[in-house]
Amino acid sequence: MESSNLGKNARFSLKRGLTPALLLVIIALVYAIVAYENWAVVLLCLAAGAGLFFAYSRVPAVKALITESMRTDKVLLLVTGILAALVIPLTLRTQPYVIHILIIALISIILALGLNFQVGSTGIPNLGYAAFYGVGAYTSALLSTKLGLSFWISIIAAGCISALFGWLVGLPTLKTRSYHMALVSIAFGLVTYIMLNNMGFTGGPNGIKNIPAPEIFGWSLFSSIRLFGNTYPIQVNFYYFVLIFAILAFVVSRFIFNSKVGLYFNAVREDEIAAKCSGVNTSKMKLLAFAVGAFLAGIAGSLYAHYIGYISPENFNMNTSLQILGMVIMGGMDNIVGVGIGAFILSVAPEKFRSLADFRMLATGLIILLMLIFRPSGIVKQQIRVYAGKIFGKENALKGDNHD
Amino acid sequence: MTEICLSAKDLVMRFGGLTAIDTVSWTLHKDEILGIIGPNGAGKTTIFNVVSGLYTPTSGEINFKGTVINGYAPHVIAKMGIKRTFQQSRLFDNISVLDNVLVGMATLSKGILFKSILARKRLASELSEDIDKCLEILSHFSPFLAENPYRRAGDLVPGERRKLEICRALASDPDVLLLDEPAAGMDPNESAELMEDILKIRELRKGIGIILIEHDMAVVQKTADYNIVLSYGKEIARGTFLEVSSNPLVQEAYLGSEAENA
Repeated sequence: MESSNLGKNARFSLKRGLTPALLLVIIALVYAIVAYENWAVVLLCLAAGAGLFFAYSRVPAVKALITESMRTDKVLLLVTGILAALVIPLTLRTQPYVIHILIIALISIILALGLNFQVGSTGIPNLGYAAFYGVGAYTSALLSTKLGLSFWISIIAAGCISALFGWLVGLPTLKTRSYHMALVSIAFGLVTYIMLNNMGFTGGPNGIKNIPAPEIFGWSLFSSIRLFGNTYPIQVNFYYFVLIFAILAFVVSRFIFNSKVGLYFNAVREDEIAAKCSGVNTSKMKLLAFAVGAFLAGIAGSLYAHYIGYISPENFNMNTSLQILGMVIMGGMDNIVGVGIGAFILSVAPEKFRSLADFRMLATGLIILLMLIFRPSGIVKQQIRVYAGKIFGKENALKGDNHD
Repeated sequence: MTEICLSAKDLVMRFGGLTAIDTVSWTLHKDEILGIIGPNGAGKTTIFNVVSGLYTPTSGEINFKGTVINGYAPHVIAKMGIKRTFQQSRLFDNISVLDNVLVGMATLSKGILFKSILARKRLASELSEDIDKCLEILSHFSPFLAENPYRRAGDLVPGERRKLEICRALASDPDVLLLDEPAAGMDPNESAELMEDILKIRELRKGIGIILIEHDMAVVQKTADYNIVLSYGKEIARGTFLEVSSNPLVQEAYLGSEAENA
């Protein structure tokens, strides 16, 4: 009697630590892939990752165990993830370029979260999303270089003006649907790109140089920190800075996604007419999706401008739009975690393939192709919303979860 | 006589040269079930599309609780208390049964963006109440749906889909319910169940007015208090089922005239 009880407890505690431990393994693999230049190491880690992935998706027992553990260990999982995110840059003191890749990945995550509201949740095919990103970046850069405003005012203005721009772009698309809507968004993307290229105050194709770094209470992020006798590159400062914004963006996205706003977005995507007749103001919801998505893009644009210190129209062309769209589709439409993972992979991959020179986009394309073959509905699929405190037997909840 | 909740006067709907509805009038009272019948292409669904705001009528007026609602946006009309179902049940397929009904309560929620970020406690308690209400509605019409609220709506069988659509429409406690051919594609057992459901709506929601478009004569006979028969957009008869079914014009519209058949 006693021994069987003990056995149960032991198994229970094994389950408890399972997903956080797994997360650490995955983080270690990703770390090795990103930080090591040695191709043997990278390929080995990729193979290990693929092995884990197949074990998860092909062996039902493993999947059930992980799903169960993920449900019970949410807090521990979160703490592990955040701690890892905090410690990692300190170990990369001598490789500022790797930290740079991570910063770009974080900015991409903010971008993809924004686009997900439009493409994933509301079903608006937006192929000109880089325009919002550009508007944010240019707003912030112009305000801080021409008017000398502080970063904090600039970034808020960037978010708001970009949201306003998104709302304005949304207006003409209300009358259109699917392919036509995609065309309108392409047109807006191109118009914005051409305007940035040709207007005087944007600096034309030369862009804007010498964008000042953000300051926190008078301390510039461009000054490196000395800690325990080590000097850390300025990328470390920026990494933490952008990480805070990325976490904020993630939390806010989650709030919106889990609320009725997210639900009504979904209703618009599923059937606009039925949504209207159910009492959802579909025009308002679509404009809201445009505005929220554009707001996040504006914030991301501002962070990018102040981090790199130089922007030009080339950063915000059609290519960028498609790249962000790829992140959302590959990560898993309408799934915030999936979109984050997709953004990370698709922003790190091109950097890893830099040694392939001209062929690096080909390699990225190959990754997308493989992902779409093995996970056609994204790395993490769209899930049925399960409400806290409203579980109706485990079978039902699980049935809702798995739909292959 | 009970109170009137929805009336239409000389309603006309034209699409270019085609007159889909030609001066049709009706009054719907509280607790009444009005049947609209007629052969294919008679303009029955067009009437629903006009009443629910998807089309703006060419002329005539629709009066709901003393307000002329011509040309109002569909979500405004839904908010005022007119809900509908669709001929090919239009559910939100990729979200759950529960979420479908929750969207049906959309007219009741306010300030959701603000609350979703800054007043999350209040939002959570409201949501919890809403969910309980949804489950209650589901349990009245289908124990199966009430027990499986997290099932994907797209995986339901047609009978359950129809029930879910009715639950979604009823979620916001409407004053008028428009049912567009709920028995389409159902076998006799299923349509018998449906008849019970329709009568149950009237029992559960005191004061609701229901307009029913139907092809299945058995359903109309058992449920509708009063019928209007349309043919090519024009009203050709009205009255109780017995009255309209014995009307030679109605028989001609459904079966063709003797001259044509000869």
